[in-house]
Amino acid sequence: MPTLLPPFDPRPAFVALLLLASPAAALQQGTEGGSGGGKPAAVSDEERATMETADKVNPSVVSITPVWEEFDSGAKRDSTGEGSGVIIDPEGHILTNYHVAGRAKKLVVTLWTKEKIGADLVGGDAYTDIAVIKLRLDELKGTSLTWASMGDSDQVQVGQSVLALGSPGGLKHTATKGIVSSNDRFFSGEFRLPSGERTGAFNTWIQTDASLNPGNSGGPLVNNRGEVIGINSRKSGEGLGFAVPINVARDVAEQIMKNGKVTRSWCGLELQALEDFADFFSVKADEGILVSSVVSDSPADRAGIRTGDVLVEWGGKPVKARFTAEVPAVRKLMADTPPGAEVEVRLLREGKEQRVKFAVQELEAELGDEFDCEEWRCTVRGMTRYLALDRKLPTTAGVLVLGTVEGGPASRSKLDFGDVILKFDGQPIATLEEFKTKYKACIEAKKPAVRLTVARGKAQNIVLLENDFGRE
Amino acid sequence: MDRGFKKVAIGCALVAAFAARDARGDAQGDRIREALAKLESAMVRVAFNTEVTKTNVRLMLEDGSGGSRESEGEGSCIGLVVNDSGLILIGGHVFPDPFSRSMFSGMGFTGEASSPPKNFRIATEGGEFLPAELVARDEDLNVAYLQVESPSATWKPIAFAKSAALRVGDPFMVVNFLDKKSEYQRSFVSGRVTGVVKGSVPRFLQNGVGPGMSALGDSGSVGGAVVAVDTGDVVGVVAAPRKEPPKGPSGGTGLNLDKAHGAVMSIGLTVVVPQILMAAALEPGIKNPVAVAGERGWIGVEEFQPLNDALAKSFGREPGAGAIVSLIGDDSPAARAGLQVEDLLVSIDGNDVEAKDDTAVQDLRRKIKKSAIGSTIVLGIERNGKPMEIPVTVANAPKSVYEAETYADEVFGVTVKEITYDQIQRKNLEAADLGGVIVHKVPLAGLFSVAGLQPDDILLGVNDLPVKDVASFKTAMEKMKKERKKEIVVKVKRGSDTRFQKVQPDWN
Repeated sequence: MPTLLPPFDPRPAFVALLLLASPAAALQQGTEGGSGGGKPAAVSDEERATMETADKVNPSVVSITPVWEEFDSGAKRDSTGEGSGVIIDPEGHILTNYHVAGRAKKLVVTLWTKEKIGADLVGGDAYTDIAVIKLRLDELKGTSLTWASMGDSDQVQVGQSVLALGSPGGLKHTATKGIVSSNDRFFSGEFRLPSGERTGAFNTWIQTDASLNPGNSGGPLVNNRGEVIGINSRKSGEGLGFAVPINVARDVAEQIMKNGKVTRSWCGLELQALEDFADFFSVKADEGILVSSVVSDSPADRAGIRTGDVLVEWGGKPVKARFTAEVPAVRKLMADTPPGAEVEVRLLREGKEQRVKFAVQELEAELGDEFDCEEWRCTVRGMTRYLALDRKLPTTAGVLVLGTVEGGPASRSKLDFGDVILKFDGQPIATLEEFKTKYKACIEAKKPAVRLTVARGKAQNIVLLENDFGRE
Repeated sequence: MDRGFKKVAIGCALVAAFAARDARGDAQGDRIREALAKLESAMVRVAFNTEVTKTNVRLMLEDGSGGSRESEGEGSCIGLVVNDSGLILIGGHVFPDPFSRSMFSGMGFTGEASSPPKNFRIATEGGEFLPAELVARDEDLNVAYLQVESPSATWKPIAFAKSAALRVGDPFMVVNFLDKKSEYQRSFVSGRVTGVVKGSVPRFLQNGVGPGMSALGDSGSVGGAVVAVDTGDVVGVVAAPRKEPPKGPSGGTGLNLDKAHGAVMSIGLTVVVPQILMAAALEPGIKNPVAVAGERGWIGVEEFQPLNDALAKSFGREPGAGAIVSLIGDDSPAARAGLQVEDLLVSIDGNDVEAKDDTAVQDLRRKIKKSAIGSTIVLGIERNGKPMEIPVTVANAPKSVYEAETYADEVFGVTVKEITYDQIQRKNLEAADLGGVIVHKVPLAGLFSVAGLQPDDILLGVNDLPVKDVASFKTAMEKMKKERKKEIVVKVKRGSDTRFQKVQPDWN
């Protein structure tokens, strides 16, 4: 499983190692320079091209220092790191990763000239790991803005040279070189971002051997014409780096700049490539996509679609996926149907054609909002359809406990990460808002104790939470 | 005084000192030696074979293929002879938790799952081994019983003191065996009771400072006889650490969501509390262990929550005056009778239920287990403060995972197991998952391994044949072999999704 390029954390030992390593390297260079007699090195055409590409794009590459809130420790805490980004237009819009800036409440951007200015989050999309932020141009002093031009990632070919630009380890304006190793790498979509959302269901990835390190996240992958063809996002092992294709990023960015978010629809179908199952499902080898599961009580389920059906047409458009790398495109086509719209689906069941019609609904966020129950010393999250499905709970009722602070009322009552609070003093809780209202009322009334009903796996326990009022 | 005389004098003094010590008699040492002698024939070494299945799943690949390999080993534990026909008591610690599995590491999952021990045999003084068969397990006390299959052997059972008890500060010893390097010589460890956890069945603890410092803390002592040093009475055995259910969320992928650093596999925690199981608690079991372990009265209430002091106060009740129902199995007698989660159980057949702590809840569970199958028990409950009576018919307990039917197909390289009721509870499966079989092993590089099947996958169908149980899976695989099918499509449930995997046998 690939790991993300986490926003660079300046605190760990990495910095110390660099500080120790740098003087030694400088000394060596000095010696070499002396023996070389100052003769300028010959530059090959290829090197010159690389240098020109780096020179062309680097002025639009930025370092991003986001500040975001984390809730997993049982209390709301600010956290920070460092990632990369690329300016894409004269208004100061910057493309970066969702896992760098998508949840930021504060952003500081370091420009090519080393000038630091503020930026604001325009919006983010966890599914593609893309976020758009906008520079506060009125804060700009002295730097004239440069933006990169975007290429066409559909034209990317395996073997072509690429440069990765960004701030690995906080080392600003680092260029690393490689080739495109694959132009349609597929991940099943089960990979999760540090903030918990799944990513990768709707796109494939450009794989490159250009060296990527923590801090490269959000930086551009550029071709030898200096066009951005991808946004560097994750890596795995040595020489296995992955970038979101720029066509995907651009599409998402346009929606974010227009609406502040990406809207997708959902119908409850899980899909699988037909591979060589065609005979078994009595379809032609290059026809359709296999329905591997149907979420119960979803629009597709209510319309009667079943596991093992082969989908051949969606809203009049043919759909097919013989290989896994073709699955994301079909998912995207389906998700691009406006929520609420009715679609007609043509499918083959045991070789016989069937047509069904149903209305798709909006794909809701996978994770609900967080809330810090300060008095209880714990944090909770609103439940969603996805969380309920993963926890095998029958409904989306309740709130999920994210963490507790040891010694606090919640921890003392043995409330723990993963518990789903279903009832508050015997009263069912449907949503996070309902929970907040009850929680706030309980704090205001200074109730000495609250009885919570929590779901733990299949079991339900009663937790008696005793408040700390007057025990400071 | 010449030097020679001086030497002799010193020598004499030393001899005298030793003699004096001997005359005083190291009373404690004598009692220990007596106890060792007494236990000589009542304590045997039990050897058995173990098997660990290591599974590796490469998640980096799109289909997550991988497989498992077995490594075999030998285990050893203490056995106590508990009757004159060769019934042996051992600690339940030799049985691995059947529900523990994977850990996340790097580019995939690696998991280790231990199979229950096999081929039990009793080492005799003469260096021979007598085969023994597992006849019963008592999961509440976490002990098991073996029956030696040797008509000629004679047995001298251990004599437990009927009414002995230990108090904090009492010295005790545990008779055990040394390890393989020391040729399993008999030995003992001793200590004093450092704590007693009160409850309907008290737990006697001995805490040392650091590992190996406690007479109870070493798993080599589990199953060993506990002797009260002051009286020489055999007062109990060292109990296996209690297994606590895995912490954290269960269900779905088993991944902890929302943790700061992506996917973290939840790992079952075993809370190790070394303790002495009192002979009194064992006594009924020893008379007829098969009957005790075989008590299968079942109503389907899988978890009770004790009414501890704080909860009792909040319910306005006396502490321990009832137990809260936390988990009811789908379609169980209790569910059908209308019992609900959060009901407060206050009486059974008119007798008050007292459940102040976990041990009391264990007693309550045992009480229900002892109810006659087919009989009706009346549960007195309170629901939202309103008293009610719910008659429930006691049924025979469903099969446990230990009794699950298993089928190993060597041609296809897969071992499957029946999905048992307890797996549904512990793995948070849906009741509907009962219609299928669960993959237990996928030997590396076998057909199922190459096809990307993984342990814990639930198989629902083979080609057009639905898989309802182990028998129907076996029938389906036999048919595939008979017809020499070139392509086999297996319908699999993994987490909350289903998918199809293709198995391609090469019949040449």
